Amino acid sequence: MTPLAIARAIGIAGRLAPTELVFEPGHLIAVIGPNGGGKTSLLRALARTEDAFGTVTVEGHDLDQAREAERSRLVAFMPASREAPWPIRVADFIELGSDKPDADRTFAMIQSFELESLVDRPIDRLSTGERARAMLARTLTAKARLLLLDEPLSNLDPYWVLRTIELVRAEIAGNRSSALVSVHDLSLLGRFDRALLVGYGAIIADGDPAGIVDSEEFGAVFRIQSAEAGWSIRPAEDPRSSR
Amino acid sequence: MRVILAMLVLVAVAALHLLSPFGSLVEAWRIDHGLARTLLVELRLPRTLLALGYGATLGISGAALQALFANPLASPDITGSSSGAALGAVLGSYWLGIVSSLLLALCGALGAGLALALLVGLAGRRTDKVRMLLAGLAVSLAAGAATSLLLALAPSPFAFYDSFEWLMGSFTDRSLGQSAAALVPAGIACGLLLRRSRALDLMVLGDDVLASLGHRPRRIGSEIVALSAIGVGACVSVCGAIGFVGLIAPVVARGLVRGHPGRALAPAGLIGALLLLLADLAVRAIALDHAIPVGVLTTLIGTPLFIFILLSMRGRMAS
Repeated sequence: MTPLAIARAIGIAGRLAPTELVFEPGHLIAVIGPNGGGKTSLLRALARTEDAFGTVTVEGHDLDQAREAERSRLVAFMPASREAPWPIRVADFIELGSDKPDADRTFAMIQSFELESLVDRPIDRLSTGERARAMLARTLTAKARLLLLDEPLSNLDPYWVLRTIELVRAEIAGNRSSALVSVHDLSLLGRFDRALLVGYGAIIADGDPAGIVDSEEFGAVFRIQSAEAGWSIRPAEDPRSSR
Repeated sequence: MRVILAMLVLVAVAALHLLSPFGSLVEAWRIDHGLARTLLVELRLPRTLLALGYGATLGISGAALQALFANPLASPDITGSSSGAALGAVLGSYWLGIVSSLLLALCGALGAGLALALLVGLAGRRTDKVRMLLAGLAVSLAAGAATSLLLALAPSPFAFYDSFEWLMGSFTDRSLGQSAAALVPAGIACGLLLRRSRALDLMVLGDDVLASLGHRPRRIGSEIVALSAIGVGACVSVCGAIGFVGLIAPVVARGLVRGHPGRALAPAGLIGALLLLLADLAVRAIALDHAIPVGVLTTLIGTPLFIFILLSMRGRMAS
């Protein structure tokens, strides 16, 4: 199978060491790791923010060379921030996700994320969870091949956590695209096809989610171990490391 | 359709501005055709062009600054760039002995650019709205005081008196050459600002998303600051500072484009031009024997609107 996207020596100075990655189409990929380990930097480097180095090609196109119209079809990025500095309407906000707004597609996204009653509200007047849904809708609207979602589930209620995973899964199945999703809730890992464990500014492990959870690196990076009722804090091997 | 209508209205108001008072024009025509032509081209045309061009520059650069800072209160006057431009022009004219209008426009642009750079240094680009307001106030006050000091100590004993006529914001008695020195750089700057409309719309999604779509946020930021400084600086160096048009025109324009900050640039230019033409018509109509600087009128009308925007923002912040 030809890969969907290839990342060569991507990174962000001081945050993420040069990293090589290959993504197949149709995969839902979890990005896990401790706070400050480099999850956000990995997603930002893939999204080609201004401080990122390396190259990312999606379907053979070098992202750095692609103009807006082409890029919005190749990659879509949802940052972790839920801040909306400018009060435009929710429907207009979602439309910004596509360079050629398509009313049917925008409406489909509004329906999927059940935002019908909020479309005319300014984006800054939504609750954090509602804003997260509007931002997801904006990110998915262009049907990009590589979706980069930074903690999309973190402000959502349990229904919307499960529903969002379903919706993203349906999108990537329909478009033969792939999604990288950074998550903190380890109980959701079973719903993903692949997991990337990111810590200390590098990829520590990459593979099947179940295998990663059982790995020695997993416990060392997260400083937790599996216990009867889920997880417990791992006793520190070296007291100096328990900062 | 709406665009054509708006352009027609603008052309009509500009024609009205150029031709009124019509009586004196007809009288001059009766005496000598050449006199009428001189009156129209040498005296009236610069005034109309300056009102039109300066208004458009204020509208477009105001809208661009508001989009860049994500702050509906940003504008050439509130950010201190108009005051910086006046300082630059006074320094160039009274202390460096510069006579060329184009070089004075450059001094104005440099002053405006320094003021904006100082503002970004003091408050940061994505700062809370009040902090930006306070930093802009500090820059304006400092630039204003420095301008007064330079005028008071200027070698020319008439500096204060001259500069009142020059810097209070007025279009009277400017030559075609001065108009060109202000409007050619401002026109180029506005044209380049308009090309950034889409990027400024996308800035709503945050700098990282903007970058992910192939734009370069930091470069766009410096570009907007520099272009606004050139446009505003050139106009201020010829006409002086004019308050509130750069604040109000973008607010009205966004009402026409469902609040999109970037798409508001072109209509803000149109509305700014219209506002300044109307304000200049008004000062001419009100005072026939006293010359009221048009900047005084825009500030008088603009202040209540500014307070209204502030109050509506307070409601938004509280919720």
